[in-house]
Amino acid sequence: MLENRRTSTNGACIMIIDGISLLLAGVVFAPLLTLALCVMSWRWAAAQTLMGVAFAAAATGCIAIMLFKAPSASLAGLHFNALVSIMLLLISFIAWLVLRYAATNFAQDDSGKRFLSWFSCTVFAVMCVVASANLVLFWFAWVAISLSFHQLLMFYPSRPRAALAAHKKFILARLAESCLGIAFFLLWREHGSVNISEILSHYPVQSLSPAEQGAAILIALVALIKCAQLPVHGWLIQVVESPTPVSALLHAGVINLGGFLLILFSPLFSQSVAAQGMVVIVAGVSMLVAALVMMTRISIKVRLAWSTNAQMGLMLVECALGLYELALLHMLAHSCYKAFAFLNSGEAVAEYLRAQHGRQELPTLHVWLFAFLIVLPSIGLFVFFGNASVLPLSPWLIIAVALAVFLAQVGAARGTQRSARALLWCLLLLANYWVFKTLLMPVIPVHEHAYIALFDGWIVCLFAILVLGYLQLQYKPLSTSSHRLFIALNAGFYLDEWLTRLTLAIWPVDLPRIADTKSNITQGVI
Amino acid sequence: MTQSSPLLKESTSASLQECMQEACTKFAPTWPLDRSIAVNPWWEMRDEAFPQVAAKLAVLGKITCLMPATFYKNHWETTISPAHLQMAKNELQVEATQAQLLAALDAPVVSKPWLNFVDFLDAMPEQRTKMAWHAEVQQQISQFCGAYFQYPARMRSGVSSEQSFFQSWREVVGLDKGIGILMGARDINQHIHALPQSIDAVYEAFQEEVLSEHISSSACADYAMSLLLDVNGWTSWLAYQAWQDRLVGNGNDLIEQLLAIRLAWELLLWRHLKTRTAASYELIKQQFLAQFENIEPRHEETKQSQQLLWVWQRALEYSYQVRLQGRLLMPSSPAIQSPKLQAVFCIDVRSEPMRRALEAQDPNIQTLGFAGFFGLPIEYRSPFAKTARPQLPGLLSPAISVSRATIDTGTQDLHVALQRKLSDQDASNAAPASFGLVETGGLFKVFDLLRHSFSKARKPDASQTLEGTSPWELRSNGELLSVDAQAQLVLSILGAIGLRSGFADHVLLVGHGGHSVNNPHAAGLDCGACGGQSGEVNVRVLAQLLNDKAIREVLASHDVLIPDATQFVAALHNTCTDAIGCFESTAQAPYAKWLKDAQSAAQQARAPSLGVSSTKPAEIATALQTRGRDWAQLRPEWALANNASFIVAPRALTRNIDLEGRSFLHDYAWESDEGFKVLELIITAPMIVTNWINLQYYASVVDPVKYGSGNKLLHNVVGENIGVFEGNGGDLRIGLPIQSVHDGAQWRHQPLRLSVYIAAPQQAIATIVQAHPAVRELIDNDWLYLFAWDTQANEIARYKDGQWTPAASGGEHV
Repeated sequence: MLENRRTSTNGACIMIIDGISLLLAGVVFAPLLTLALCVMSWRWAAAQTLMGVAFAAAATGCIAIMLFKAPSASLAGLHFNALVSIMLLLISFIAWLVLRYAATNFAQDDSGKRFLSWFSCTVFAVMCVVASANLVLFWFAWVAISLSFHQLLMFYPSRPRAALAAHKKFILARLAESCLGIAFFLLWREHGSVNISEILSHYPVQSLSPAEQGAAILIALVALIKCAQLPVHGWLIQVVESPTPVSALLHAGVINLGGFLLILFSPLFSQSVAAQGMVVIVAGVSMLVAALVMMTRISIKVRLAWSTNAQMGLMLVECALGLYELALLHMLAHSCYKAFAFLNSGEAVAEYLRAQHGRQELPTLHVWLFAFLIVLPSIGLFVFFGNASVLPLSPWLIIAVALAVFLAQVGAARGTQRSARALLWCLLLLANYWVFKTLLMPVIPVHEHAYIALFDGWIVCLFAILVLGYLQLQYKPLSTSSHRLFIALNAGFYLDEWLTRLTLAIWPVDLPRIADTKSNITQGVI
Repeated sequence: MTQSSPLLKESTSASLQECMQEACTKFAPTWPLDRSIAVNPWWEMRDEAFPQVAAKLAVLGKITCLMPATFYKNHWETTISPAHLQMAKNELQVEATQAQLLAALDAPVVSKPWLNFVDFLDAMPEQRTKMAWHAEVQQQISQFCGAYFQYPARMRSGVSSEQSFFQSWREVVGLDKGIGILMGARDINQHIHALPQSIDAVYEAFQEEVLSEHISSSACADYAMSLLLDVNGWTSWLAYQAWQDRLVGNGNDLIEQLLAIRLAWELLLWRHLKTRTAASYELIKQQFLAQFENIEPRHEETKQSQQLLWVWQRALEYSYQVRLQGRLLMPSSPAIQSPKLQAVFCIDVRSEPMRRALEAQDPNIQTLGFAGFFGLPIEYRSPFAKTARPQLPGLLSPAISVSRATIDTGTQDLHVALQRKLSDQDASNAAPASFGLVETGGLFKVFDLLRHSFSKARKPDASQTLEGTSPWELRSNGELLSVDAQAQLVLSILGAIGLRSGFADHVLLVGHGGHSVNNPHAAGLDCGACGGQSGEVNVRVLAQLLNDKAIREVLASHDVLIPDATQFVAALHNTCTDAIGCFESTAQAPYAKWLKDAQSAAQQARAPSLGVSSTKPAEIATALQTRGRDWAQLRPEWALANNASFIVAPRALTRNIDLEGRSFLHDYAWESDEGFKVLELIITAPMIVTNWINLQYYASVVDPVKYGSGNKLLHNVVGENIGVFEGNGGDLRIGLPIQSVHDGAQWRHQPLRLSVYIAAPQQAIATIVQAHPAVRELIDNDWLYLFAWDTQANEIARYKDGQWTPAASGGEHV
């Protein structure tokens, strides 16, 4: 049953690879065990321990693969390589902590069992997608994710807005699955195999056939839908109608699978300029709009959801620019960032109180100049000594602006003494960025990705608009144009309303009527 | 027709506006989350009898002010005995047999709710698969209010300052293409543009187009109330704005503007339906207008149908009162002559078990109960914060500002740490920076995730801690208070506590505060008398004043002699863990062991209710500590759940009774109260506060949708500190989260109206009540029960409608 596709002269090496595969396969099946244990009264303790062990196993496997530079190995329809092990590490980590959190949340709640079972199903399906070696398993697991996650989104079925959002998501998920199915079918017909690494080993080719081109575009489309890019973003914003741990899992472990899809199929995707173009346009605009909209939100969770939307946009853009290792880094970093932000969203009031203790002054032109004068050369040095490529330019611009804003804000509000510390912090961030970028480089299956100046330029322009929009809103808050912009952003440009309308026209649904009765609260919520 | 009845009004728009605006005064405020205090949601309706209000609210807002029948059924013959039912029946003068009352628990309560125009639209068959208009209107108003109050300058910038709330709404809704798209009603946009320009014009148009001439003014007020109840949360928020303005002597008309907004929506939809579907329009118009004709009978009908449930509610209250009264009348212990230790606690119900535990350590330990802000009308000004923080009940506005005289290194270090956190917070909130910062620094959140998940001893947030030892300064209008003024303040406080002589060597001043993290409602666990803050500042300031030699000299000249040996010690009761800590080293203090043992005893008594199963004191202490600081914990403590009575009497009279943490305790000895000035203060201040707390819990349990803030798993903080949404939107949610009153299996708060027992002469009590209309209304309209406890004759009598009646003696039921 255990088969090692790569020939290796070294017996010890084979043993290590087998060992790693077994370990990682164990990780994949851990959530299945937690599901089985749901019937036990000690389910929470068991589930936590299991996921903790799974995380430790994933960490061991991941380190072993990186250390021994082990080649890909397969086991029972699953395959394990560096990329897969990193994804498993991420998912098991998030699942473990979210479970721990939920165990306390649901400690005195009957609905906890329901949560745990669908949570386990979702995590299992996600892990299967990540580790599946063939298209068939991949597709079924992909479908299973959204079906089981749907149950979590509808955790409180009597809430009309939850129902509406989940309904929208349901339709979009079916659309994405159909696209993915067609893309996989085309790939299978083209190569006569369902094995993913076998299919991908054909690339690069001279030029893509129309079927391959179609598959690439469909896959890109699926990634855009999965990452809830504009204009199909509405459900992501509205599903804060489900419990906090569900949001944490969604934003840290499920939504980013679109990015994984592009990274996995990067050998194919890298060759389709059309697919890249589509991603650059849609995800780029999402990134711009969502980031600005985020600044006008009135509630913490909705703000976080818009922020996810924007961050996913950047991740996809990075894929389209051929910066897969950056996209992977972004995915990992964002998952941790957003999981924490959601789980800790009850601190919003404490953060408000903290903000009462600081001066909020806008940096002057001098401070801005000063900040950029420090940041730009630092980045230049990193590029130079880190032997990194200057092109594409846009990712560097994004880093530079982030650090400059950070420095300028510290400088303006808290004086030079703090700025020195902030500067050190900036250098640490840059070093961290460089280390992980380098570490993740070998994980990525392909590095041949033509640089297209037009795409890069487009992203630079979009980002410049974002910065201008931000400055406009911050520095001229009361001008008429800011006022108009603010109101339009606050309304999310009414994009989601169109989609909702369309959804209800295509597929009407009986929404639960207003949950304004007490029977609902005592039966549904508790 | 207009002449035929005095109820009917002339058809001028001003009068419509006037009578509708009457409803605007009926809403109680809700405080922001960071200084949240308990509020009686029916405070502004206290001039009507509770059952009357309940019936009205049931009709106008589908609100229930009673528990469901099954609840009473479960208490029958376990808590509620036939005798209780009999007493309730007699008191409410209901002619019904026990069998009929029991049968009433199986018959559903029918009430025919009032429907606003928007509800009629939703009832149309073709609306089934569309978004409900009601939800959409509520969402639109709610989202607008959120934006308006989080970004006031931005939202106001486009409109004139006059009626800017309404005008800003008009602008936003005018730009909103979304509603028409979402609801599939494109003509809505035209109607929005055709909306009247001013509030007056809205009323005029509504009067002209919708209402016929013969609408009674009370029906209009009811209609307005129903409209506002649709957005009850935001109305309460606006009531808070008005409340704050009133404290400084201003007024505002925000609720009137909100009402105009909600009315404008009705007008909009009216026009929409009229132009859209003429047939349904005629039908709905008729039904809608017919409601105005029979609103009074509808209230009456509902009141009738609720009547028997009120008997059950009253019987439940009797079950508590009879038992408590029986125990109050049992022989008490003598007063302590020379106490070894005195400790003054807040009247909060959570103090009672702690006081009992402390008293159990030694018969000569004396504890006292007093409002937790210790009578100090102060606000705390942190050296670094932009605004001062009120440290007194929400009914008052601060007169004195306290701050540290100098900033020492401890404070400075804390401030530095705080600023570092702030820099991160600011930068990741800036849109262009968020991308790069997540990419470069997001992975560092791994440490935060692990720390919050596993670390047991997380430090309290720097913005909430007061470090440093430098003395406090008290200022009034910027001027330092003179020693004389400080002494006067202290003198009145000591008088109110009833502690003018017989000082022990050590007097603890015990404030209290919660200790939870990641909890938007954390302030609700703090001291309500301190404006939803920890009582730390108050006890530390008062201890300093009382230990001040110069002040003591002035006190001596007023015959208050504090012995040189007497030390006042500030302490804090952590209500999440039941730990007591003093703000100075107590290692050598003779009472250190008492405190430690009392703490263990209190923790041990409380552990089971929080699901801590260990029996070893050390383990319990650790478990409670960990539990309180757990970021995933939705039930850090039960706070004031199950509160039921307020006892104003010398502690010696209740010292032998286990009051089960259900009683607010205020020390009071009428013999030494000249002119009953202190009693008047107690009846008009702490008693009101306890009523607010009591009815907040009551309301959050009987109607968790309108008066409770819902499920904490779904909470979504709005406008940084304004309040919470449950999930994505809907109305602003006020009141207590469901997890604060329900443990997943059952309610932790038994909804009983407060029973107040005052050990003072009946005449004195009656005089004070009659002098204060608000208090009289609370009593006469059944919002609370007031009893006089004659400790000489050992009798308890109830006061209502100016009459004293002997309270049911509970001896035989104990």
